[in-house]
Amino acid sequence: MATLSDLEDAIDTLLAHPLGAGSYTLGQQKEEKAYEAYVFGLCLRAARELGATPVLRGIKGPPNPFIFRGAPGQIHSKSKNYGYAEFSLNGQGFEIHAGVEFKGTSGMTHELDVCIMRAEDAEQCRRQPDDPPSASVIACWECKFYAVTLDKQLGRAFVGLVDDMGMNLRLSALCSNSDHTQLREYFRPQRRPDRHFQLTPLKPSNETLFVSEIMSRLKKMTGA
Amino acid sequence: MARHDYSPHEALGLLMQKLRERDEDLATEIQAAIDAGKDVEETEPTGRARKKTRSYRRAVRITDEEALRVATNALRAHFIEQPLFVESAADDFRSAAIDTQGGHAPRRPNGQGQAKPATGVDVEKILEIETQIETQISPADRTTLRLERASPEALAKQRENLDLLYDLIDFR
Repeated sequence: MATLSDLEDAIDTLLAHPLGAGSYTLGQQKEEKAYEAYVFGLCLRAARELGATPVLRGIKGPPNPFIFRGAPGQIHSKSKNYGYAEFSLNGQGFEIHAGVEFKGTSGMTHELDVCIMRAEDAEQCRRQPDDPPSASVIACWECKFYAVTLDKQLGRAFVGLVDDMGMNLRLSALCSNSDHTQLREYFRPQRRPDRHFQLTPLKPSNETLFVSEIMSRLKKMTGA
Repeated sequence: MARHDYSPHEALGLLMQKLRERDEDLATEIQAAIDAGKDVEETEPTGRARKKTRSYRRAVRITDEEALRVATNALRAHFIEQPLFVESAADDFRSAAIDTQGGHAPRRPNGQGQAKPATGVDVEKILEIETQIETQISPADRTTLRLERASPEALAKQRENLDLLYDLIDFR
């Protein structure tokens, strides 16, 4: 029979582990950025599985290290050597970005946690500094790391954002390692963005679904 | 036969106490999630015939057992999932090529822009998160934070530790 002392030992061992309390944390905001890096990686995987070789680039030169923005920023910013990835499919160029701001159809700017956009629009906005138009975005994802249940307002905010991104958007979804029963229902109508809840390496089938969805949209778009 | 000599209430009390001692912020985050309760759907008869029913949503407190599950799932997210995100990203970036010469490849008219040969596939990349953001006036301790893989042994051991905790709080 398990005793309270057994439980105490188990808790102590878990919390004192190098990946336990005190050392696990990148800080709440940074944990969210690690989740964005993970979703960015899944986009690279989708491009690779379509036969492309994504190339990592930096705004100022070779991305060594590859730097993820810590806060929303402009695509042309050279404050640091921010990283992005480029790939092409059937003659069409694309770029994957994280934390970049876009101009919505209303003129208001929106940060997209992770997105795939047309490479020539990205290049244009780097050459002649400007926020890329929403029409340049092919796919975008809001990425939310939550250790507990998701917050309902995230869904409402993302629906509003996507509404301002115009009609060129092929794919949009709220991604999270967590879940929320009511948000599942909220995203059900066809006109709303998708949702990828429990998108985590602990659920490989959800990763496969996410990657397949990107592949299928890119395939349809490019005939690859 | 009982598998524990402690109740879910005692187990929750001990876990939260230990968490508060080790990491006040984490304990506060988990306590807030527990205190948020949960939604349940209630059904009640309507009309005299009592054959018709209506259902409505109601927020209720969660049980100690459910609270234990909320707490351990949060610990799993921080202690297990976070290292796995880094691991997965590191793997996917490793499979990408890297621009070694700098500058942007001139894009050909047909959109195929990678004029330079792709190198760096299957080479580990260094991934960092910006901590000193570009508009920040106050200096941060460091400008970036490296995303480093946890050792497979450490991760496996921590998964074992968490599995044991799940087992010890399973009162079914």
